[in-house]
Amino acid sequence: MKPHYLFSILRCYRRGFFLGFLSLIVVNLLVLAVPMLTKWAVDAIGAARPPGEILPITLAIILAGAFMVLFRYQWRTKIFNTARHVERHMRDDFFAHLFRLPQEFFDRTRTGDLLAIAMNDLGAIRTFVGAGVLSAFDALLIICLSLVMMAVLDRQLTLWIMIPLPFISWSAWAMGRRIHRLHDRIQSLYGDLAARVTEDINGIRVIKSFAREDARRKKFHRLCDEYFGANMEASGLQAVFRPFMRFLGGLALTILLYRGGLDVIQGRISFGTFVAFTGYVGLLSGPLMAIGWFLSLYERARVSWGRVRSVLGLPEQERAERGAVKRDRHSKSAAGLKVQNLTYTYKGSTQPALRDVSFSVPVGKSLAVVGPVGSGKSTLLHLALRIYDPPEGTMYVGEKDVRLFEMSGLRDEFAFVPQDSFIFSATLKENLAFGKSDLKDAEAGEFVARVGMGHEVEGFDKGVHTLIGERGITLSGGQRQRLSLARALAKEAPILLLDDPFSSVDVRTEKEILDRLFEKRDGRTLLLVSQRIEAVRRADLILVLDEGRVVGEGDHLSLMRDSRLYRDLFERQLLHEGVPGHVR
Amino acid sequence: MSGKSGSVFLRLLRALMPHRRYMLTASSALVLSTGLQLVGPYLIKVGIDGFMLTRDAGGLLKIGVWYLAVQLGLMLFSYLEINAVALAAQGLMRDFRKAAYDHLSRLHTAFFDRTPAGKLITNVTHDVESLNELISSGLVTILGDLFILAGITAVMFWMDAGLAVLAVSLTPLVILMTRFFAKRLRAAYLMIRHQVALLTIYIQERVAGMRIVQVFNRERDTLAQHHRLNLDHHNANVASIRLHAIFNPLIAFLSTVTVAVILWVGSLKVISGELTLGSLVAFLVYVEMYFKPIGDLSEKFNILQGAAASCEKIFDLLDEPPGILDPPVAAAPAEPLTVDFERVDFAYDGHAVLSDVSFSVRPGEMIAVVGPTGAGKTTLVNLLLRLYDVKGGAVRVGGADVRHLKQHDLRSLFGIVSQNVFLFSGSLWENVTLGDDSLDLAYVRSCLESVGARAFVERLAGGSGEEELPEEAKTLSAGERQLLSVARALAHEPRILILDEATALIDSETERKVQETLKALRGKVTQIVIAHRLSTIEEADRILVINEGRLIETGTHEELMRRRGMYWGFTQRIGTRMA
Repeated sequence: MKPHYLFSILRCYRRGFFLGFLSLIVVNLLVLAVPMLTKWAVDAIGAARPPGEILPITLAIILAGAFMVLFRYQWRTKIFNTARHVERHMRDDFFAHLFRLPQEFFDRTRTGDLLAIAMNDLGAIRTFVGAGVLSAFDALLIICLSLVMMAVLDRQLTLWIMIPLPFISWSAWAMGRRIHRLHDRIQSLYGDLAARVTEDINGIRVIKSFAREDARRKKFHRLCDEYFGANMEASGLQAVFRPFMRFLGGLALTILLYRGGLDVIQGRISFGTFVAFTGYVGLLSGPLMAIGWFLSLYERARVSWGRVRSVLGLPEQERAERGAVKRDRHSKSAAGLKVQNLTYTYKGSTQPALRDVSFSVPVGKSLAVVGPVGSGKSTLLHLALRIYDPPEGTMYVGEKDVRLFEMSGLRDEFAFVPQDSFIFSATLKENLAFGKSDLKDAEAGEFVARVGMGHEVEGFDKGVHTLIGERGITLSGGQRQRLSLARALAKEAPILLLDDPFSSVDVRTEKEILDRLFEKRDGRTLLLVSQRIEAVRRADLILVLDEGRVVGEGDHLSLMRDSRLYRDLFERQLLHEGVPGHVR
Repeated sequence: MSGKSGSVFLRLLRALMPHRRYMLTASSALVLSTGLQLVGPYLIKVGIDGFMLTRDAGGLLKIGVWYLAVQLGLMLFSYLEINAVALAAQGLMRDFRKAAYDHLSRLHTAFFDRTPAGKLITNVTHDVESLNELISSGLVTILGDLFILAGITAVMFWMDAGLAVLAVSLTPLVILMTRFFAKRLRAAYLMIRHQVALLTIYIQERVAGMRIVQVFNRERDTLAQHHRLNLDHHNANVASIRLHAIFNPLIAFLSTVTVAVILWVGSLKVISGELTLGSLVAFLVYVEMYFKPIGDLSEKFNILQGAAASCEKIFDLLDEPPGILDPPVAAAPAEPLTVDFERVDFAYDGHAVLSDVSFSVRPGEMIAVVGPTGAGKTTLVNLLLRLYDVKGGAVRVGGADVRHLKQHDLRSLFGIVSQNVFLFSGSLWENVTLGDDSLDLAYVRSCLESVGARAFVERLAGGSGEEELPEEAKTLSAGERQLLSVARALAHEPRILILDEATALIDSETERKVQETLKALRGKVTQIVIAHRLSTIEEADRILVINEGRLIETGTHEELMRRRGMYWGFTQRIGTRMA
């Protein structure tokens, strides 16, 4: 992030702000003219001038009012629209930035928090940039110009009226400090509240099944109480500050009433001047009240800006192409995968997830990765995809270090089926089109059939155009997995990565899918993580991982012979399989 | 207001009853401060007419002191008002938030099946939050505004009826304009809310599905789509800005026109001696005061309407019948702790899921339930825990119909490991104890070790288990989550343990460790296991074979194999998993 990111954005929209503030100045000048016109009218009455002289003055007031309508429209649309533009611009930037952040960031960040930044925090910044800055500018302008106008009328009386002014800045300062701390706390408590509700609703079955409602409820109630307390503290502050600011305005009027009254009695000022002064001091009360509002907007925006910056300021994952040869991205290569002395430790973890792993899968061959829970199987796939960055010089796709690839170029080489089959709420076809954007309906049907879902999809109302997900029909776990596989197949990438893709699919369908996968691969390389012997034994090469180390390598038969762990992993499945290779 | 929003309003007033003391304080403070606001300009008039024009400096000082006293009073009453309003508003919000949450935790599982989580979250967070506006900017201010309007009108008529008629003569026009714009503003706000929802859902989903977007290289499309939605959201807001930019200045213009007319007619009256100069000045101040609340009134009604809509959503949630209730007089599950299904029927959304299922489980027995996907295996568990109620027949635990037991008592007997593991954010320890602080760290660690999860316990923060797991513990592998979930079930020392495909993602080696632990519990804890893997199924004392909602066969592995029925068919076809 550039050091003055916010200013660079504001600069983009300076024209709108400039015109808006210019219109605001014009409006304020017109507003300030009204008490002056009133003074003339009152003085004319006092001097017992013919009524005919008063009429033009009142007409001038109406004329000023008409111009005010025009310029008020201008500043409102210009300033508020521009502030909305700033918000929109920042949201685009923020959203785009998220996609360039490394996965480690998402591992420790709740989706809800990012959503809160994108919507609420950017909203708070926009309110400050628009309404906040506007009210501050307006207040300053009105206060200064009123003082100037009053000084023009009578300098001595103006000095008297300025007596309460120092208190304004003093109390604003005192208020600002306290409110900052409180806003920080209120916003973080609200975040906790939202996070807890989200979690408890999503986990309602667990909570009910374990009869833990009471414990969770107590915690939620405690949060509600804390939130209540913090809010009360904040409103207590406002309850002191806002009436006090109004009192300062009233104090100025009191001074005017007595001091100005004396001046009228002594004949130092005209009666009309006194009336004009009441008009000007009256104009001050609005801006004075606005100071408290401005301060709380400012503090909210400051807290929000801190949160936005904490994300926007994070370094992006390296994505650009580095090193020598630039490959033609449009010719799909047939790439193999090579791994050399790969050791990888997750950030914040003390022990490596993978230790000194080396292997290679030639173009068009298949590799199965097996091993106990937590042995690093998924990590291997994630590193190849650079969901996490592997160390340089450890992983190669088609002889090129994955770290030297341009990111999207690298990912063009792969089609991936993750363990958790995330499906978007869109039509079935749109989900498949994630793999291939110019997907035809017929093709979509074909891919659906290849994962054994053809029959089910025919049963849907609108076939491949059926909405699925939250706003559409709910898919079973097995359907989601198969759809996730179809999405990957549609991508037609040189290397297919499958992370335990059949755990919820019934075995007959699994067999059918596997048959097609292994037999008709069109020279594509296949990497598969699985717990199922049915899938594993078909692979050309099997890699056995344990605690991040390669402890066995070979085909099914040789591993059954040589690897104790491999035998342990699958023996019990094999007992009932009648699969060849069971040696006693 | 329509009849429905009227009743919402009444209900809201009832909800406010516990806070009536604060509402009363707020209203009285408001009335008093409004009164004082009205006194201000009048004091100026007295100062002008009574003392300035008669050159009475002593009287002027007295008026000055009075004016100061009025300002101090205003400060005091505003202080009281703001505090009392906040106490009422925040108190009401706290009540509603707790009530909504408590109600949610009582609601039927089926309700959560058909309601998107996002909607419920919005109810408890955002909808409740908007009540703040309803009370503070809505009810109280509108009350204050109406009061001050009435007060000013009265004072003006008392001072000079002729001028007063002029001052209020534009009010019908203001009302017409307000109605005209209020209708359009409402439409604009509806549009904004719609666009906000679209944008929020989009961002939420794409961030959650970030990995997929990235590995499929869909960033550009996703950003473009976001840009479009963002722009729609922007444009919706611009529409409302424009409406305000026309409406608010027009109201201000009417105020200026009125001031000019009063000034013109008033000065004629002063010249003819019908009106004092002080009264004219006071009139000008009153007219300004009169138009200020009128200009905001349409805005406030909009806030009120938006908040009333939110309020209605909260009431809808609170009105949702719980579906499953505790009996008024609860039975207690008796020993021996048997489980009986008696001719159980169950249908979901009109589709029969189970029909005429009967079986009994003795305490300490291990039962395996097998059958193809969609046969109704998980439904058995849901009925046993009374997450749903049977449509016919009865489920008994310890001889008592589950509907005659307190849900809390019933579920406390069970430990369950479900197909989909849900982890809470918080430490590993909290995820096992689920907030039961009587389970200490050493015990939790022993539970984790007993299922062979020791390796990953150590990996997380050197074995202390205190490390925070982020949302849904994204860094744990799927197998590790399942192990954690098994440990969680064991930690609560259940009398009946239910494993619903608990080891589908665990390798055979680790599964063996889990099974050793479970074997040690044989005879002490009843175990009901839904499984695909033969290695698990064979161990069972009895096997229930379910197909299309019916109990097809029961018996031991050997018996069923000898019978050469459906079970035998399954084992022949696939071996590793039943499906």
